[in-house]
Amino acid sequence: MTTDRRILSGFPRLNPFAFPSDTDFRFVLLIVVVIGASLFIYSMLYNSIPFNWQRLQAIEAQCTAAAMERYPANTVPEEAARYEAIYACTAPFYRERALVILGGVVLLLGVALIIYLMYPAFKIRRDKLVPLLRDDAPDMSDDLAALCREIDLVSPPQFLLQPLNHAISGQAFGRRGRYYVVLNAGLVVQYRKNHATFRGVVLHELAHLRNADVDKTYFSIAVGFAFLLLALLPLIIMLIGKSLIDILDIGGRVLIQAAFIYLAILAIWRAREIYADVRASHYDGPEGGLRHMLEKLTCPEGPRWRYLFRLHPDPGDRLTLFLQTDRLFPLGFWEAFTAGFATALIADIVDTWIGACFPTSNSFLSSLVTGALLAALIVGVVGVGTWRATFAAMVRGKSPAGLLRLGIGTGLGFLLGQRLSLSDYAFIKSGSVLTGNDLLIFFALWLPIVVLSFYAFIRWIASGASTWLEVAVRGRSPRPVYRLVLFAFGLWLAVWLATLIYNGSWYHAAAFLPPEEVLTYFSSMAGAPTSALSFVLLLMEYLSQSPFTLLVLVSLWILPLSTWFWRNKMSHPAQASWAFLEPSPRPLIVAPQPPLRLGLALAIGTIGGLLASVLLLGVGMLVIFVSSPSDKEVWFLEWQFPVAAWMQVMIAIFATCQIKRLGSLHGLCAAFIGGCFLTVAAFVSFLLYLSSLGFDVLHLSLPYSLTTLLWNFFSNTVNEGALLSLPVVLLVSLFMRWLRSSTKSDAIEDQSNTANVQPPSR
Amino acid sequence: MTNQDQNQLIEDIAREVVATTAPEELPLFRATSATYFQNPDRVLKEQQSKDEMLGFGVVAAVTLLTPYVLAVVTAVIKAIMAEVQKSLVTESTSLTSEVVKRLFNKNHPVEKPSVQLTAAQLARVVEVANIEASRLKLPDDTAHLLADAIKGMLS
Repeated sequence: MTTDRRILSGFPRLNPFAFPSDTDFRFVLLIVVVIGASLFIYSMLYNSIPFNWQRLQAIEAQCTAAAMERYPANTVPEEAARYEAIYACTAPFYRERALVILGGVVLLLGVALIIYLMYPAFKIRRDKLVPLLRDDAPDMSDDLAALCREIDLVSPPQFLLQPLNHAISGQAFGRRGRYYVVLNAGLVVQYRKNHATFRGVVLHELAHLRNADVDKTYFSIAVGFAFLLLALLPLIIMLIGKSLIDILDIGGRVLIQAAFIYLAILAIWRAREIYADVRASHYDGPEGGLRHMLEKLTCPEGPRWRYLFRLHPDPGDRLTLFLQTDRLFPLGFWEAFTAGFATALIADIVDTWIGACFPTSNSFLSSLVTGALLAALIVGVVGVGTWRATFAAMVRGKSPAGLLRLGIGTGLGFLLGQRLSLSDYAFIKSGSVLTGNDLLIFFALWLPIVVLSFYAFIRWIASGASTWLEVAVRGRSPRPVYRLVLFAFGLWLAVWLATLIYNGSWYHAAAFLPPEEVLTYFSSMAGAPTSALSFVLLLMEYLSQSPFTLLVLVSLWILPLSTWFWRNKMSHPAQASWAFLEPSPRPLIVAPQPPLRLGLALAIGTIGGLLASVLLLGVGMLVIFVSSPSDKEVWFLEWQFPVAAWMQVMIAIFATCQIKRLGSLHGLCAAFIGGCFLTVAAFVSFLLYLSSLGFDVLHLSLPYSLTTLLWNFFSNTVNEGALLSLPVVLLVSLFMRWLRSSTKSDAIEDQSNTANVQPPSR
Repeated sequence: MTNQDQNQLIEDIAREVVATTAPEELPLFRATSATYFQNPDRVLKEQQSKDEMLGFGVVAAVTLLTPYVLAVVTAVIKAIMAEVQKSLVTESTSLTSEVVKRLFNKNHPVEKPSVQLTAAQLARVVEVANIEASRLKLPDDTAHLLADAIKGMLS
């Protein structure tokens, strides 16, 4: 580090490099989108070969005939069994196809790699770049080597000259292990004429190397070129002779995706320029030559929309972000939209390909693998962005803003991506989609589910960030904390995305069955539900059986609230030298927040659970002694669990009202604790019921193990309680926040009124 | 004089002129001169600043003197060679080139040149330099600067 680094006497700049940049994940996400599009295009190309298509048709017909013979009825269970049989029968063919497609993608990536490796030599020859020789400029060579050491470059680049370019500028390029920085002629002359400018611009270019921009940039370009050559071109050839509708449909989708990828990549490059400015200023100082160069930049001429196609940000924005780095922290609507859109574009095709390569009878598992991949990318973009925004807000003593906007952006992007995906085209062509009113009803339900779930997820990440950052700011680096916590959030999202992908396929699978058949099937599971309430309870029972449900629901509160165990550490003031770019004259001040009350939540859950358990046991005893046999059966096999769930909701509401900070999460925790006690009560109550029927409960002979029985009781009680509590505590939490803010406003107004009414002085 | 010898001479003289008039351009001299000899028009063409990937942005460009120095010195060398040939009344190109080199070889004179430029010839050389500078649309002060530098080397 230089000893002459300038220290701003005013407002210190936040360090955007303390956290990973969302642009890294956005690069990866876009490359994954290209690969996803390639998977689909290669599927189409594979099927377009007559031999393959005929073989596919024959195998499908053969397998379908065999399945129809085995499961002929047109009911939901038979349809499901038929589907499974066809899936198992055709699996070898689809696996073979998937491997061939994988070969195509490997070839595409291989060509991309070759382009990436060869591009530097091509550029050097095309632009007539020549090496800077030490004999020609010994002082400059020494200074450049010193700059490389100053910016902590592991392997310094080779410096090249471009004598024909008179701009006061440079450029970084290269490949792994061999990087170059071009010094244009206009920049070289600044070495003696204006050394500060020379230093600032060179540091900017070296910062690109330090930020590892070169590999990502040039590899993404190489992937784009390889995609054009090896996927898009064959697709265009394949479309020759197809109907106009097909050409427009699929061509339109590909065009939109290509345009999206191109504009998104440009946006990322523009963002990386700002990060390079900020990194360079860390060594050059905010008042160095770099800043003066930025001030001299002028806005290129042309209409505003052309900005979307530029490689560098607007000079005004660039300077502003250079000086106010906290504005780099929040994630914008369009970045969130891009993440959702890109994820959805590839979700189906990746899911299909994984399912084909690794066939399993449990299709949710393949959705889980897909969900894990996509979750890593969404958490990398939206999750990291939310953490950064929360941190910047905390340092300024505010709450993170714009979370609703991010949720809406991600959700809308996800929905649009699903509809514009190439997989959707395939489903439409095969006729396996909902249409008309069915489609409208589906989207009326699906749209709020997706948008609200992404919004809730982002709010949840922000909650976790607000608690874990209090731990992180007291460490030497936030890295261990955010890596661990974001990994945990990513796991959670993987399960949720798998659920969205798996259940989103109802949009396609539901087209096979008339709606009345679906309702009849669900109705038959519980006798004859005649009301929406019964249907909802049935759905909750279905969800609560999955072990993932318990994991998901418990994670909701355990991840953010577990920082309670670090509460003693949080009583010490935060130092966090890593938070600022320059040494700050004042320490990091994180505005004090109300403490977490996990202990209180546990106490409320315990006391509430004990009281509720006594009540449940009492009701059970009453039912045993006064009810008819059929009523007893209904109570112990059906209604005991919903009642226990509602008891947990009461416990959760109480805890939410009592606890100011993250009341809803504390409420869920209390509900869980209460649920554990209620599980015991419900099980004991059930055993008493069996005993009343004359069974020897100590020597029960069951068609399943005791563990399974206990798990059923536990999951029915705790999961149903959590599922019911979740929307309730969110609403209660909102209400309490409004109430507290209204009370606070009234108190301030009262104080103000009192101050205005002063007794006359004597 | 072969092309290579001529180019070398032009390069040597131009380097000295650049060292005097625009020393900040010396690190670029070797690269610029190599490109100049391959394609003089390309070097003399004004380059527009481009928005390049991982560059700095669309920034101002500076006008470099080196390409113009090379062009002016080329014209001057050609003019001098013509003058020397007339003076020597010989068609020996090797002798002509040797003499021309000695005309500029002020710092390490091995022998006193057998031919010196007369005042009229020197004036002619300066005129050639100015004409070439004018053709290249150089500002007057820059043109005079170059002409003076070249004249200084020959005096």
